[in-house]
Amino acid sequence: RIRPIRLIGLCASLITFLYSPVPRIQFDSSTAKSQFVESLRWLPYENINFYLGIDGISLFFVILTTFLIPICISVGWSGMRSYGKEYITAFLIREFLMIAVFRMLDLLLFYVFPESVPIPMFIIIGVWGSRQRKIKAAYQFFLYTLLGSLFMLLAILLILFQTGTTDLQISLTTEFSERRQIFLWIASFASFAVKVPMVPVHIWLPEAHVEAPTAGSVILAGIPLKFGTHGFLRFSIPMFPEATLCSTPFIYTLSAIAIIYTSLTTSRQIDLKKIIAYSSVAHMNLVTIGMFSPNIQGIGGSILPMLSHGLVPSALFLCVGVLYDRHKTRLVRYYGGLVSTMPNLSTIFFSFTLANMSSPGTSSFIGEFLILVGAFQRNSLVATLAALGMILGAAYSLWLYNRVVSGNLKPDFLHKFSDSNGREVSIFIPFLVGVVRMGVHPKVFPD
Amino acid sequence: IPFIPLPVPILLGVGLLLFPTATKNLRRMWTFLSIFLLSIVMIFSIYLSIQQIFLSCIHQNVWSWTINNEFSFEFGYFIDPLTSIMSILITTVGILVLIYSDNYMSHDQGYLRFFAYMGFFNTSMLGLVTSSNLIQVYFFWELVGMCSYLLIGFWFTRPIAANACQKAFVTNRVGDFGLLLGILGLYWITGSFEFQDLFEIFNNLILNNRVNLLFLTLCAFLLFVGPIAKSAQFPLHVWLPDAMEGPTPISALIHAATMVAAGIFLVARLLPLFIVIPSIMYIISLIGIITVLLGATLALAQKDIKRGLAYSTMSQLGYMMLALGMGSYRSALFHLITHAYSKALLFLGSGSIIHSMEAIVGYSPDKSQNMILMGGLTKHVPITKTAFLIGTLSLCGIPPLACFWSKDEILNDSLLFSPIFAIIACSTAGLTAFYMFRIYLLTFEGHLNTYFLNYSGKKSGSFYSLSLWGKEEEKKLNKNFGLVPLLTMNNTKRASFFCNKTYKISNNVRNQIFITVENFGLNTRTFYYPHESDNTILFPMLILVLFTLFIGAIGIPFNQEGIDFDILSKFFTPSINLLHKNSQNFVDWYEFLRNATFSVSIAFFGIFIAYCLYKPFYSSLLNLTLLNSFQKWNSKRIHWEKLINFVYNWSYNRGYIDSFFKTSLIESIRRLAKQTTFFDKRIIDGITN
Repeated sequence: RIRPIRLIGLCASLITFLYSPVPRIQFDSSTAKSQFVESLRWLPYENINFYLGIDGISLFFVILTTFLIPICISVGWSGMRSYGKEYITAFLIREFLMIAVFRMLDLLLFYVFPESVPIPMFIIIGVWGSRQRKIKAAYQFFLYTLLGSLFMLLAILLILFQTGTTDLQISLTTEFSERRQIFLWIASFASFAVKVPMVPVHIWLPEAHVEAPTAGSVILAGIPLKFGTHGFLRFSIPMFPEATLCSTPFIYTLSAIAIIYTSLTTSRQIDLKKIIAYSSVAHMNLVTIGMFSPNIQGIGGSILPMLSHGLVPSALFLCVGVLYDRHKTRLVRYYGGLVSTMPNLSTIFFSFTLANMSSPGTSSFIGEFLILVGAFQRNSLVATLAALGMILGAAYSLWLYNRVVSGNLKPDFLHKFSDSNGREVSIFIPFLVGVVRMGVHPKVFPD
Repeated sequence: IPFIPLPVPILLGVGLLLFPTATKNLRRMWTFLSIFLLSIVMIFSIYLSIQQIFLSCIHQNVWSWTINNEFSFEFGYFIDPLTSIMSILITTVGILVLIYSDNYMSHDQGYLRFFAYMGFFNTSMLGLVTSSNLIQVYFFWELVGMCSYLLIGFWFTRPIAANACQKAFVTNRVGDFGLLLGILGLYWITGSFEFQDLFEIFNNLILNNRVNLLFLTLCAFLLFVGPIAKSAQFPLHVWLPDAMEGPTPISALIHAATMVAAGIFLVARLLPLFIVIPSIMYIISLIGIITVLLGATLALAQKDIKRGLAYSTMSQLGYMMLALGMGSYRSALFHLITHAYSKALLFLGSGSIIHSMEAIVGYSPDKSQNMILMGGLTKHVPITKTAFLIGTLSLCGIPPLACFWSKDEILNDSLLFSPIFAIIACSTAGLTAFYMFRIYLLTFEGHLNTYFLNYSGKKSGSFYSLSLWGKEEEKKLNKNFGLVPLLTMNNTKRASFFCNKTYKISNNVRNQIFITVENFGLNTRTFYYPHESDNTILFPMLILVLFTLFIGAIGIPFNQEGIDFDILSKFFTPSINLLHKNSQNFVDWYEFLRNATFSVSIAFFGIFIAYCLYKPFYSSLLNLTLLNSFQKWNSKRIHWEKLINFVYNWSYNRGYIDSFFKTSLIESIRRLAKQTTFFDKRIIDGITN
C-alpha cells in the first residue's frame, strides 16, 4: 500500500529535478539581474509581495536542491515502513520551501521561508529519528534557528520602516546610515551565524545530524546549511557594505577559531555522523572566510565550496547510512576492515573522503584554494590558520577512513557481510559524477 | 603527455565495478596496455628531450579554469630540459617497475588494483613535471601524495600498513600546507602563478628592492617546506621508512626513484627564485646536510632490508638537496638520475630477495625482510646478487659506476662551498659505503640464517605473522604438530635447531611439503632454498644494471681533451647560464683525479670496516654457537661497546625523532582536541541545556 505513494513522490521530485536545468538553458547570462521573476500580490496594503526570481547564483542551488530530494526519497525507500505518506509529504514540502528560499527577492520572505524550513525538519527528526535523544535534538535545532531569526525579523521591520517596501532589489540600492547599517548587520548576522553555523552556536548541528535519519542528514547537510552563507551573500554583504567592511576582522577571527576548534573536536568524536557533521562546520566556516574577502577570488571561490559541500557531506552521510543499515551502529570502534567485505562501498567512501579533505580533482579543492587565495591577500594570518585546518582535515578524514575501512575485520561486531547493492550504488554515482565534474572543470557559473 | 596512461586506471575502475569477473580474467591484458601506453610516453619524452638540445623551452596553455573573467587558472605544459630529464626518468623506471611487478604481484589479490594505482601515479607524476604553473604543481603534488597513500596502504588489512600510509599522507600534508601558503604568498607578491612570469617579476622586485625581504624569505621557506616533506628531508622524514610497508615495486618506483625526487624537482624548478635569496639557499643546504648525516646514521642498524634502503635513500636525497642549496644545479640533477637508477635497482633486487625469502620464512614483513634471517644467498640467487652488488657499489661511489660521477661532483662542490659541509659530506660517503655493504654482506654472504631463528626471533620479538594468511595457518597448525616432532626425532645431527624450526614451520603452511627434504641436512640444494626469481623479474633488473653502469657516462667530464663534451651540462646550459656561469669549466683533470681518489678511498674505507665487522661475525656462526660468538665479538671490543651501543640504539630507534614527534606533537594535539571536546560538550552544550 505504501508503494504507490512513494512512487508518486519519487516521480514528482524527479520531474522537478529534470525541469530545474531548463532555466539554465534559457538563462541570459549577460545580465546580473534576476530572471524568471514571478510576482504575486500578497499583502498589498503593506507593499509586500510574493516575489520570486532567479539569478546566476541561486540557479545552481535550486538544481542542487532538486537533485538531493529524489535521492532522499529513494534512500528511505525500504526503510519507511511507518508513516510513509508523511515522509514523502515532509520532503516534498521541504523541497518547495528550500527552492523558494534560494529564489526569494522579498525581504519578508527572507524571514518566512528560512524559518519554515526547520518545521518539516523538526518533524523528520522527531518522527524518524533513531534514538532517544531525538526529541531533545529536535528542540535544540528548532530553538537555535528560531532565536537567531528573531533578530532578523527586527532587522527586516527596520528596513521596511525606512524604505517602505520589502523588495530586495529596492533595498539593495538604498543607502543606510552607518550606525543603522551596523545594527542591521548585527541583527542579520545573529540569524545567519546560527545557520552557518559559526562557532558558539554550532552545537545544534551535530546533534541534529546524529538524531536525524539518513535522508534527513543528507538534506540537512546539503541545503539548509547553505542558508546562512547564502544569506550573507544576498543580504548582509551587498546591503551593508560599510558594516561588512568593519566586521570583517570579527568574522575572520570567529571563522578561524571555528575551523581550528571544530577540526580538533572532530578528531575526538566517536560517532561517524558526528565526525562528518563537525567537519562540515569547519568547511562552512571556511566559506564565510572567503565570502568576507573583498576580492573576486574570495567571493567567487566561496560559492564553489557551497555547492560542493552540498554533495560531499551528503554523500558521506549516505555512506554512513548504508553502514548503519547493515550493522546498526555508528560508533567508530566497532568498525574495521570493511574493505574485505564491502569493496565497492569502501571505494566510494574513499573518494568522498578525498573530496572531504579537498584533494585536487574533487569539487572542494578549487573552491578552497580560491578562498585561501582571496583570504591571503586580505590577511595572511587567517589564511594560515585556515590552511592549518587543511592538515587537521586530512588527519581526521584519513583517521576515520582507516579506522572504518582498513585494518582487520572485526567479526565480533559486524555480522552481515553484504556490499552495497545496486540501488545504493546508483544513488552514489550521480554524486561521484558531480564531484569529479566540478573538480576537473569548475566553470559552472554563467556570471 | 601526462594523460596518456590515464585511461588504464579509469577503465580498470569501471571494469572492476561493472564486470568484476571478466576484468579479472583479462588481467594480463591490462598490464600490457599500461606498459604499452607508458612506452609511448617514454618515446615521446625522449623525442622531446632530443628536441630540447636545439630548441628552447616550450610553453603552451592548453586549458583553463575560468572562474571569472578577471581571474582564471591556466593549465598548460612547460617543457624544458629539466622536464624532459624527469619524464624520461619516470617513464623508464616506471616501465621497468611495471614489468617487474607483473610477476611480483601475480599472486596478490589486488593485482588489477595495483596496476590501476600505478597508472594513476604515473599520470600524476608526469603531470607534475610538465606543469607550467604553481597551481598545477600543487594539484599534481597532492595527487601524487594521494597515490602514494593508496600504494603504501596497498595491503590495507595490515594495521601497520594502514598506519604507515596515514602517517605518510599527514606528514606530506604538512608539507603541502607550507607549499600552499608559499604559493599564496608569492601570488600576493607577484600576482602570477606562471613560472616564467614569476621569476621575472621576482627578480625585478628584488633588484628594485620593493618588497620586504623577510616576508620574501618566509614565503620561499614555506615553498621549501613542501619539498622537505615530499623528499623526506630532516624534520619531516619520518614517513619514508614506514612507507616501506607497501609492496616492493612501489618502494622502488615511488620511494626511491620518482616521488621523492619530486621535491628535488620542485626545488630545482624554483631555483631561480631561491637563488636570489642567500639565506634560503643556506637553509636548503643546511637541511640537506642534516639529512645526509641523519639518514646515514639511521641506516646503520636497520634490520629490515627495505628500511635500510629507505634511510639510504633519504641520505642520498640529502646530498641532492645539499647540492641544490650550494647552487650546483647540474650535479644535483645528475645525482638525482644516477641515484634513481641505482636505487631502483637495489629495491628491485631486494624485492626479488624478499620474494624468494617469503617462501621460507613466511609471509610477514617482519621476517621476509629481516636481514638477519638472510645470509648466504649468493649461491641461490646469483643474478640478483650480481645486480644488487652493482647497485651497492654504485651507491658507494666506486669509479666505473653511475653514482660515483655524480657524488664526486657534489663532494667537490661542497668543498668549494664550505669546508665543514665538505667534511660531513665526505664522512657520510664513508658511512654510505659502510651501511650499503652491511646490507649486502648480511644478505648475501655467510650462511642462510633462517636456521638460527632462536637468535633472530629474540631480536625481532614477534613470531606471529599478521596478514591475510593468518587464519589459515592457525587452522593447519595442529596438523603440523603431529608431523614435525616425528621428523625431528630422525634427525640427530641438528636436533637443537629443530625446536625452533617447528615453530617456524607451523607458521607457514607452504613449507610443510618440504620438510622431508630438509631434514637431510643443509648441504643439499633443495627446493627449500630460496630460488632465483622468474625472468620477468630479472629482466628489468638487468636493464637497470645497464643503466647503472653507463648512465654515469653522460655526465663524465672529458675536459682533458680541451673540448667540453659533457652531454649533461650541455643539456642544461640554457637553464644554467641563468644561474651561474662557471659551471662549465669546473675541474681540470688533475683536480678531478685527486678528488676522485679521495672519495673512493673513503668509500673503500667504509667497505673495509663493514667487511671486518659483519663478515667474520656471520661466518663464525658456522663453527660456534651463536651466543658464544656474540660474546666473543663483544669482549674484543669492550671499549668500543659503549659507543657502538649508543650509535646502534640511536640508529635503531630512528634517532628518537619518531618518538619525539609522537610524544610532543601528537600528544599535545590530542590533549588540545580533548579539551575542545570537553569545552564543546560541557560549556557550549551545557549552557543551553
